[in-house]
Amino acid sequence: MKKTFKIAALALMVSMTAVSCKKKVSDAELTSQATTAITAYPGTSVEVKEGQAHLSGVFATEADKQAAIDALKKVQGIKDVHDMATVAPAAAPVEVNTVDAAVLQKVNDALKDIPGVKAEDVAGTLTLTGTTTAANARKVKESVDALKIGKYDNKITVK
Amino acid sequence: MSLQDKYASVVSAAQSAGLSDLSVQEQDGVLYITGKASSSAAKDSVWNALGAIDSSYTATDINIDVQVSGLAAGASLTVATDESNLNIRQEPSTEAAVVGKAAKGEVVTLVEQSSDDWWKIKTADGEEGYAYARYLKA
Repeated sequence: MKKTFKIAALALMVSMTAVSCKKKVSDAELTSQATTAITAYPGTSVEVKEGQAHLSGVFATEADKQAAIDALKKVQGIKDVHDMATVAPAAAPVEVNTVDAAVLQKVNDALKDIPGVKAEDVAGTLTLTGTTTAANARKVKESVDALKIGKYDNKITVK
Repeated sequence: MSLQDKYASVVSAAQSAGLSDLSVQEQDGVLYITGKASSSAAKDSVWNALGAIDSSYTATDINIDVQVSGLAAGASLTVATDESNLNIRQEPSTEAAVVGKAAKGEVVTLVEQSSDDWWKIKTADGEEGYAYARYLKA
């Protein structure tokens, strides 16, 4: 009986010591752990003051920012996360041109000196067919890519 | 694997080519690399990087729109046709009348970069008109 009590007392002491140890984690140590937790997000930083994490910087997306906040909340010893970070404005979408007569004319200009390659408008999708050299295929792609028509069908065979 | 990963070497070539207004965007299954090069060599370095991955240059999940731009009027350009002479035309169109010719390797003078594909040039003989930009190296 006495022995059991001793063990229990020891266990209690150990657990209390562990708790008091946790409380002693310094802000510097927490800042270091917090910084590690958000290394996946360049351009951002975190500082812990009195157990409160202050997140700052610019995140690529709102989802990234939320994920970083969640990661910080999981760091033991951090009581709260203050979100002082921002999200970068979304880049304007790429303007994709539709294949019309003017675009087709430009493609045909580009193909003029490249024998064996043909361009057609197949149900609104530019379709390239034929056989040519890699050097010529590159010239074709350089010209077509400059028109920014989105996804097209490149069936050119390189010999 | 995202397109950014698949074409990481092309993106990195674009970043080290010193392009201005460089943008790298993935949209609807196409990776768009857009920027302005100050020389043909800078533009070529990006295309060479693509060639190392796609040797047939037929991939359509990447769109490289890197144009040599911002050249000053009076800049020297070298005619880079395969063999034939470069046609100099009255208007920026393959339909327009040929007003002069420049031989492969000949150095001509830029008048203006009228568009991405047609540049106005002047030969040493004073022939002036539009030539297809693909055959001019800056």
